[in-house]
Amino acid sequence: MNIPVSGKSWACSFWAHFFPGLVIGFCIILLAGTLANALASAGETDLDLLLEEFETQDTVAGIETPVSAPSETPEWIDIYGSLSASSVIRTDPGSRDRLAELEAELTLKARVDPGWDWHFFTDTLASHDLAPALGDHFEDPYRSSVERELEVREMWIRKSLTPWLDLKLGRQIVAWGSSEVFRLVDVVNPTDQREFAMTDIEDIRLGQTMTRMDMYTGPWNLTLLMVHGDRTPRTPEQGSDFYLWDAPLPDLVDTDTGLDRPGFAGALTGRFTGWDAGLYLARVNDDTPYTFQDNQGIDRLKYPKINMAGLTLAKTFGNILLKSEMAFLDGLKFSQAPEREFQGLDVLAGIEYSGFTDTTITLEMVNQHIFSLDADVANALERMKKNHVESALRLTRDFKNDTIHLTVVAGFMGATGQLGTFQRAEIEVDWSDTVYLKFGGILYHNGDSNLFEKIQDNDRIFFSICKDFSLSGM
Amino acid sequence: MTLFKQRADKFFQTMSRTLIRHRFKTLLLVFTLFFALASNLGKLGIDASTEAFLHHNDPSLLSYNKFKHQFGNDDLILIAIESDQIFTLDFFNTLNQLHNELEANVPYIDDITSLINARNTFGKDDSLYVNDLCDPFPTTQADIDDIRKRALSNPLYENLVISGDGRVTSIVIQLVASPKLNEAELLAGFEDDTEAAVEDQTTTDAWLTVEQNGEAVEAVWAVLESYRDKGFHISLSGTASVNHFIKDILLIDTARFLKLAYLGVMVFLVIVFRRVTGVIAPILIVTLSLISALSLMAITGVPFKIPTEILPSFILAVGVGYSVHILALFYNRLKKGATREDAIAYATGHSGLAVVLTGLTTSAGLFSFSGSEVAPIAELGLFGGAGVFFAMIYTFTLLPPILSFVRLPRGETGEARKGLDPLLESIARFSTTYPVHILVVSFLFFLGACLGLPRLNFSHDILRWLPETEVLRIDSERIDASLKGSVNMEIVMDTGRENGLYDPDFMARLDAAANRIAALQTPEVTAGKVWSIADVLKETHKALHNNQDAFYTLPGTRELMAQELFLFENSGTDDLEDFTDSQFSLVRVSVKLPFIDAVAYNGYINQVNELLEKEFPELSIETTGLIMIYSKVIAAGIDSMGKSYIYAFGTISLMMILMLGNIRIGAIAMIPNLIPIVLTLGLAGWLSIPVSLFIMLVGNIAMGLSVDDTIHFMHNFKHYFGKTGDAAEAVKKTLLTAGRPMMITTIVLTMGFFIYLFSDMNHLTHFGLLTGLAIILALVADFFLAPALVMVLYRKRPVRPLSGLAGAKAAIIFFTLAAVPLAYSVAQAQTAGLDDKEARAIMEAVDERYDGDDRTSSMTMMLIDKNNNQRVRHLKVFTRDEGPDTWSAMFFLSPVDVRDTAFLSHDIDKTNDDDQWLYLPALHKVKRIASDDKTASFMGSDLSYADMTDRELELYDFTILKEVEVRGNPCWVIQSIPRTPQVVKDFGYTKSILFVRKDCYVVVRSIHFVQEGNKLKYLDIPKLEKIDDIWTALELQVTTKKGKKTLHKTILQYKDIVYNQGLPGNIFTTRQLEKGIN
Repeated sequence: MNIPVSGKSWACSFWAHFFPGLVIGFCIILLAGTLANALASAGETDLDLLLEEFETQDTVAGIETPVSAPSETPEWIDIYGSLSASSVIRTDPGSRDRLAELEAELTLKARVDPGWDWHFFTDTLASHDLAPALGDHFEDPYRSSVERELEVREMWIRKSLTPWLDLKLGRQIVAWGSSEVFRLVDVVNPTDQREFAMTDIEDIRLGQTMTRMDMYTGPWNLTLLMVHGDRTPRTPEQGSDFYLWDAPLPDLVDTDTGLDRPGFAGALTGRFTGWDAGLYLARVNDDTPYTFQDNQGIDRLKYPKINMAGLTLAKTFGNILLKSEMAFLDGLKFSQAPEREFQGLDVLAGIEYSGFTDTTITLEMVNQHIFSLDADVANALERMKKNHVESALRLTRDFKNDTIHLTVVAGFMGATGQLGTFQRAEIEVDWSDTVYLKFGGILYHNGDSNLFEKIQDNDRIFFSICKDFSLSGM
Repeated sequence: MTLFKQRADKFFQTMSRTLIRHRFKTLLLVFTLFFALASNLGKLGIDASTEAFLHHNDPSLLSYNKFKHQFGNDDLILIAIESDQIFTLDFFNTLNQLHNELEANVPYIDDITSLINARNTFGKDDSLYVNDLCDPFPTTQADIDDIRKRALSNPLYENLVISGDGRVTSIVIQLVASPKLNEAELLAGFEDDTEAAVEDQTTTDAWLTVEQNGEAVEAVWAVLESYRDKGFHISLSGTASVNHFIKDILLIDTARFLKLAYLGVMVFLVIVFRRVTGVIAPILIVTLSLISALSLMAITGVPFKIPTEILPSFILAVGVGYSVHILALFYNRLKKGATREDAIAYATGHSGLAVVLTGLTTSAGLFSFSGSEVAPIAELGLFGGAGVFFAMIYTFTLLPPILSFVRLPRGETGEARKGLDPLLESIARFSTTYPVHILVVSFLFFLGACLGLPRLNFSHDILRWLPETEVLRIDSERIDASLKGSVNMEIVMDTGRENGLYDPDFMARLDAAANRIAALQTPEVTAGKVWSIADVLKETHKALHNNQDAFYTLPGTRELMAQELFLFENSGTDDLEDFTDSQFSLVRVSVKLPFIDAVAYNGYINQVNELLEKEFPELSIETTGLIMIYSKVIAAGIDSMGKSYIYAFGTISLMMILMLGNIRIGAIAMIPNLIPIVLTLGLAGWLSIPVSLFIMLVGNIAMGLSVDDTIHFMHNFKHYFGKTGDAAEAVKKTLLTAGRPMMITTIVLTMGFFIYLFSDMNHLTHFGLLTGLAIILALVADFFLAPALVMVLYRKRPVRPLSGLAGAKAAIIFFTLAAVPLAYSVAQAQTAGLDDKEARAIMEAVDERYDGDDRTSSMTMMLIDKNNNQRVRHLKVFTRDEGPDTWSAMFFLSPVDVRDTAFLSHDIDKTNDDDQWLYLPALHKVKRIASDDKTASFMGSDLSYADMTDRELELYDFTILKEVEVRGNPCWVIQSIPRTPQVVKDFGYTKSILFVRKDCYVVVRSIHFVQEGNKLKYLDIPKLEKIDDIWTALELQVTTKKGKKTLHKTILQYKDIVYNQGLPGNIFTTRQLEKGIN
């Protein structure tokens, strides 16, 4: 225990510096804002002076008004994309290689609209990471998984059959639910789980081959999906900082979905005055695999097929958007009890406040409940809890007429973050219409969970520069 | 927020009506739940011990428990007997009798020490003897003289059993640390696993309880009673005694406060309402709340402790306020002829939201304690917050059904409205007439209080909590003076090895360190005695050398040391276990100190720690004992309070900001809450009132309570200002409606805290005085300062051109820091003007000008920053009128980064919030946007979302300023002023100047005064043409400026404009957003 030398001097010091400081600081903040008002007001000129500003507008401050806007001609084919260079640096001094990523990436998108309400779209990504070549400790299979990558993210064709019926075929992404951070009813697409919390939810979905049919009437939209693809989530390869296991994972058994064994999903969503609601049903592969022993006693890895029934509700109150989601899951499987199937109920509550100018603050909390997790099974399922709470706070703010974008995300595993926490902050600057710079960092804090014990030292900072291009007119 | 309030009001009205319709079921359900909760009340315990101030897992407490387990209790009962005839046969006979009676009658004694059995170590015939000093008991005066000689010459006796001048002798009673432990130790010879059992008991609730401690102290007191007239003075002290008597006072005080609080609240309610229900209902509600909170404590196993004694009267005073607010409105409404149900619905509807908000802020103030390291403070926060929450719930669930049973003759409510109304009107008139004076005076008070804050002194002086005339305090101070102390600081040094003590060098350093500790001093603290095993060794060494004083030294070799300790141990005494462990690896050093303010120990403890760290860098050393617990309590209290002040201030500020919907206004609304607290604490500094744990609570409690009045004020002010647009009138109406219940609740609350002035304990009288004062000051601030603040924020002024005077005014504002919001008022200065019928007619013509039923256009948006960097966006824009509603859909075509982004807006009949959805291609889904704030920039342009929607003319005052020509076309220049702050908040403009072309009623130019940042926004339409016979802007330029400086510019160019093509409704759907427009 550290006790100050003198209670009296301690007290004096505390009150003399802390509390008055707080009070005076508060007044200074108020004063600064109001003083700015006062000075600005004092600087106002009268009405005639204000009117004169119109006469000088075209020449003031060196701003030249463009004579006319660039021409914009509709094209039946449009090719566009981006080139980017990014780097990720490990901040842990004990890291074997500080450079985690030095990647060049090309994204190419093509949109073809031949007429008759047919639409074709493709989105392809190719990347090359130089970090493995420059580093000393990149080992296979991680090395080969990151060194070169070619991914067709989306490739689909869409046709409106009637004014109330759309059909969409091909590799596509279907995003469900209202959450900004968590995926409860959003179970259709597999995910990219290679770098925990490094990317937002919009970037983690992997395209899946599907047939999608949408029917519309009034505020209602009925979506029916047949999932043909057999893509599974992309998990960290052995050698990655985010690889959670001590040994290689067993071989993956083919999934239960494919062209001949499709998964199914459907959603009925309604958008009304002041509120949205949705009902979701799905029979698809779970994102979490489990291990089991096959007939020969060999360990195998498999993504179980689950049934999901979910509800979402979003309601606005002024500047507040309240969100809730609920998903009942059946068919969950865990490695420690592969012979059993479990049921779960995930419940999410969230609030989004957009009352501050150009700012959105979102707080979401989810509780994942597993039924029938009796004591024996809970013991077997190491660290598996009957109720698992996660929460996330997200703040986004735009500055300077949307040319600077700040995003801060803080995640808490466990009700009080006792299972681990992370914080990610990034700033994106629009250098021009086509060039963007991004800088950010992520911190992981250890908690009583296997995940955070493994990734606690994976703090990173990242930079990227991106150039958009368009090849319209081909 | 207004909509939210309307919905909330409706919710509370509907709820109260439903509860009234199902009143029997409601009452049955609530009382069933209450009795289920209350059935646990009997389990509530009381713990006034020092250890109870810390959480059970606090490191200091764990260390102290470890010490007690090893060396026994250091919580002592100390009896001092003062006489000039101590060394006489009669006195020794009496002392012996008293010693034996105490030993026989006092339970839980572990050890009792006096001159009768003080350890007497001596050598005889090469043998070591350790006997009692009076063994054999003296029978002649010669024997007594011999004892006197030995007693006064033995250094170990000084200030432990006899004072230095031989006039005061003591009886020290050490109670067992753990009765269960002692039983287990007795069984040690029978059971193999007793050690494990003992170990287990030390980690559970095996320690001597407060009740057992009380039994022992009461027994001592009873024995002493018969010795008080024997011709000598007996004093009783020691921490065990002090804690016991403070617990007694606590119980008496709590009962007294509760009775006084009930009595006061009842009398007040009778005076105010003069109705049986007006008294019974609030009393019932707070009683249930109090019992529920106490039951919750019982259920969770949390005992009642010293600081929690304020809980009952606190809940009583706070909880009654909620009922008062609703009852006042209920009776008022009833008087106006409303039915009972309507009156109840009106009262709960009008005050429901405010009661919830005040409940939440008070709870937030209390919950801010919950993280305190001082256990009872944390518990006070938790259960006080729970009590307030219970009061809120019971108010809503019980009050409507109860009131529905009451048969009140209409028109006779007994309210004393007429008596208060003139007073409230006078206050309103004064505060709205002299706002600047009030702000300046407030600031001067604030400044004076700030100067008093550094004078605050922290204190945790349990003994000085008692009045100066209290026997316990007098006795303790007397013992501290004569025997140089009554509490111990214990130092435990771990040599880390078996027989680690048998080291001459270590023992020499230990002896030297003990001497140096004895010599240490601070202005307040000097050690009365320092003793350790080194003294035992010296005593033994001397005895083994023919009792020669020259050999009162430490043995020189390891072997000799081991041998002498072995002899001592085998001489029949068990005293060695008071100084070391069975392995001879631990060393206990005891330091006797006076019982003073815990804060005063800090300097001394730090000196001791520094000395020990320097002398024994190789050892693990722990300082413990009750003194350390006291010190930890105050240190933890200060630390936790600092955090909780920040937490409470932050949380309540956030609530204010969210409730008022504006950071600046919300922050300014905190001023009437903050200033009373600063004033109160500043006053405490000037009056040199010691800041005890209780005084630390004042700020948070007062903030949590005083913010209630501010909420009621702001809540009502917003309501009336929205209706009238006149700040002075709104203040008057606010005080006439909310002022009365604010006064009533303040009086009730103040009374609730002023009853602590009847306490016997000084810290409680200070606490009650300061908290009550803070609440009164908060009401004064809400009656005078809050109106002054809103007056400078919202009052209207005639329009006049600004001149150099404005600059001077700004300068004056700068120097009158207290009038911070005045600066804001300058920005608002031009936002007023009378509505002009001609101007309104022009604007109605503008509004009614036909602009097509639907429209399609291609838009190019150029964004140009101050460095002339340009960004260009291409959009396809669709709009369609649908009755009073307007739909608009925008699809971004380029550049690449925003391509496929789409925005859909449904501008619903102008009184409702709009629906807005955004499709972001990266997100792959349509996202609903909460759209109340329309001041945000639309896609990075100089246009806000408010600029994209129509405005309701009824929300503005219009005045024609002049007539000018714009590009050769005659125009009216019309000033548009928002009628209420809410409109300013919603649309972001404090004022607009519009240029309306006379020939076509099109606004071709406008200047908007932006609320945030004092910017000006210039809108200009350089190209205006008729398309399909509709006047259409083909280009729109928007420039944002600050002073002369251009900050940003947006140019919108439209082409391919088509009107009235019968756009299908499916364009304005979220489906279309996802599909895009290609």
